[in-house]
Amino acid sequence: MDASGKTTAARAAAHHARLTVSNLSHGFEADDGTHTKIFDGLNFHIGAGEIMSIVGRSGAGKSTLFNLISGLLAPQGGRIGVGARSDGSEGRIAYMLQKDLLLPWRSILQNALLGIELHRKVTPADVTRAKEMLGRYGLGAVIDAFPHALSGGMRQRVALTRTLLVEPTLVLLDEPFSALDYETRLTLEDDVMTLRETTGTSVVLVTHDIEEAIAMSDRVILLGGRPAIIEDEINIELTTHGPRTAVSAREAPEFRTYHARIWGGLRSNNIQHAGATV
Amino acid sequence: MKMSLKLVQAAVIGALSCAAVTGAQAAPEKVSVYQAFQSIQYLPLYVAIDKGLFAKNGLDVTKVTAGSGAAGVAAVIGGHADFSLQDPMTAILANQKGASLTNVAGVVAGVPVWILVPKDSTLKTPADLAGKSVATGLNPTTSTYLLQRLIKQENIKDVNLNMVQLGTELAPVTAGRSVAAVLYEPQVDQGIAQGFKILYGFPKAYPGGYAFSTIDTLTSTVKTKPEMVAAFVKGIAEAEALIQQSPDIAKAVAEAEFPSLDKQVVDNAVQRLIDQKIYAVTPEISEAAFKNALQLQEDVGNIKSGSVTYAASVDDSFAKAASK
Amino acid sequence: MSDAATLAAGVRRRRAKQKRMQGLGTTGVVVLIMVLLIGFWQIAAARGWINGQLLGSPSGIYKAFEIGITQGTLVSDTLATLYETVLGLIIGSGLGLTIGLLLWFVPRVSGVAEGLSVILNSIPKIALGPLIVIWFGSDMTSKVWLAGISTFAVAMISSCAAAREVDRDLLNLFLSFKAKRTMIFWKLIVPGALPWIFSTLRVNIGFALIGAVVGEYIASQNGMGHAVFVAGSLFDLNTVWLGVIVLTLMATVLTAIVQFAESKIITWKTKR
Repeated sequence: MDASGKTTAARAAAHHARLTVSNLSHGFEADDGTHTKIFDGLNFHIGAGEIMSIVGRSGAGKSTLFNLISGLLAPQGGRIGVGARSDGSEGRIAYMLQKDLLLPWRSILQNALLGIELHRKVTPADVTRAKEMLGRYGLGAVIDAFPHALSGGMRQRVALTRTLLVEPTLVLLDEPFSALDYETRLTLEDDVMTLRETTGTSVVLVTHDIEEAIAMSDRVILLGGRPAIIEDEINIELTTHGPRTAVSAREAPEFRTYHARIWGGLRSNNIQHAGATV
Repeated sequence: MKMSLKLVQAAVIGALSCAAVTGAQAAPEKVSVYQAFQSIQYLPLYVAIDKGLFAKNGLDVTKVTAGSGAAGVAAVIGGHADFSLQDPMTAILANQKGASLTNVAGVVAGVPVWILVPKDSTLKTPADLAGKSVATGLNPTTSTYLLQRLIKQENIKDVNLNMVQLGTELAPVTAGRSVAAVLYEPQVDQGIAQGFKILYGFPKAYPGGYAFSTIDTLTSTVKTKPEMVAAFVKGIAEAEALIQQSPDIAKAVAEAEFPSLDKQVVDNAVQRLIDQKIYAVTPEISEAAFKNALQLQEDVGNIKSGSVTYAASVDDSFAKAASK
Repeated sequence: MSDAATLAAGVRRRRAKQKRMQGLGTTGVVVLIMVLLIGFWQIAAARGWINGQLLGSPSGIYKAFEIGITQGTLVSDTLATLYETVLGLIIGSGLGLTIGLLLWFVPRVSGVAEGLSVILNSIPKIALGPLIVIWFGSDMTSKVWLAGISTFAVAMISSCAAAREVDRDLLNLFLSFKAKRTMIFWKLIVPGALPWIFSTLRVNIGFALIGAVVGEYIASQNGMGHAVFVAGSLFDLNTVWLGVIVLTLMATVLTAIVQFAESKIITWKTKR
């Protein structure tokens, strides 16, 4: 814990929230016509420059929450508010999936610019920004290559570039690194964590991987039950050797304790609410 | 006892012999004939079948429509058919390629082809066809060859041949795409019933007869089954005589064979074919008639002049015997 | 390129070379078999084991080829059928593919249209042939129509399916970037449908050729199908074989052209 005594979560809340989920209700109709509520009055918010992970068992509603936040689904009740930028202009959410979703018929550079291209005209300044960012991720030499020539890790970095080039206030990630090898995964976790320092972009990470959640996040919330509620909310404070990285985080003494708490919470989840599908 | 046993034995032997004799007479020989088309020009064949004239001569004849002259000849070559009925020149062309076929009976002995124009047409002679479109059957068919030769002989310039499926030649004229149609029966009388007029009739150009459609078979069949061939040709001869004697019977058979056609059109077509001496009166194929048919193929270029002789292509002995 | 990419490229080049060598070997064996069969055929015809005049022989086919070249009919007939096939292919496939793709904008109509195409496609073109000839005459127009109809239905069904099969996640990504429908169409649907478009074109070559030849069988003055039909009626089987060979070559060359175009346009697929 740092000297001010406040948790990072509290500090974030004091700032203008990037994302506000208020009184969210959503459900679905089963084949037999019964209406099952997945969420019933869910509330939480994300602050500026904050990285928050959402963990939960399969079927807890993580994917539905992801779709609701990203705007792919309209909530049946409550609202999801995207906070404005510091200059007052509209905030924006961009997301990344496990699939890189790169268009195979476009070059790396063209794929990176896709997000911008789809909602406004691409300017030379945009192209310069794209090349710069691709260069920072080590992709400078392949900007004219096609996705099929790149490895999975490189492709996810292009996807990350595409996501960041539209200058989102909040980036939503759905297990984006789970298909990659361990070493690449650590590298990309570092890339995401750096966002906090460089651009102040907030990040919401939906994941199965508890270690990844703890290593990267300022806050972890545990989703469980039917309807799903925030069963636990943990503020992550890690004492690391040197700056916090994916590796140094995992070596911090508090790491195991957080892990036990979250793991315990997930497992108890299953016994309490037998109605949840596994 | 012994006496009655011997009587019984004799009776049984007697009965069996009778059965054997009558059995030999009663079981008709199965014969197949492949016709190029179901055509009102082929009426003698239908009369022979429908009026039991083949049966009377001991044959059980099955008729199959081959779809084209070549297919019928191919069936005979391949052994699926005993006889085929089509343009004799088709068998000749096969012979030139190594087959061995003989023409044994004539069925269509005149040229059943007419050129028709619409009711309000201003055309009066074939020369008026210059520069126009004429609907005619898809090659190879004798009607189109005749038209092509007529154009060459009369030096009619720029005639566009609109080749369509046999039997549909009237359609382009009705649709206004062609000014005249070259037709066989029953399209001729169908057209006349719709108001068309005859611009030119080919029958009158061949007073000596024209071997238009004949029955052919393998030369080997003539050698190995002469009685069967004789019986078949006799059946044809009797049918041809019947048509000449009793046109009404002929028309009745035609109406039954072409139930989808208007009865009046059928009757008119049969009458026209009888009047213009298109139906062979006897199955004999004269050398003159054969030569007229051969000449057309030589003029069109399908057969080289001098490569075909009457003697090698026609066996008229059965027809002569049947006519007695 | 990074080391990993260079290594991958090197492996691909080695594999491609392996495949080429294998391909040469396979082609060599095929050619050898063909030569042996043709040789046996010629010997059988010359020795009289089969009736070479009636059934055709390689030397007879070559003679027919010579006659066709000197008379000019071989070239003119081939060009006529080629023209009918290619024009019918382009018009029919072009229309079918365009309409099928554009129907993506109106999903409700698309379902109906696709159903109608399936019915149209089920009609045997041979049955339609006489109708089309009566409507359009016996010159090239009717053959182009037949070839076109044969290819249109297939193209439309295929492109409707291609537009529908677009990756849901990709579509959602585009929507999340607030892309307009026209943008989604041009930047996602159309490029994504290109592999389908080319495979349809390859299939349609066969249909177009059949349509053209069937049209020539029914009514025509020229063309390779017409030549085969007339030769068959005159028992000139050598010309029939020649026609079959020419038509097969035509289909092969057209397919090769389409495959070449495909390799040039669809540059983003790897062949592992």
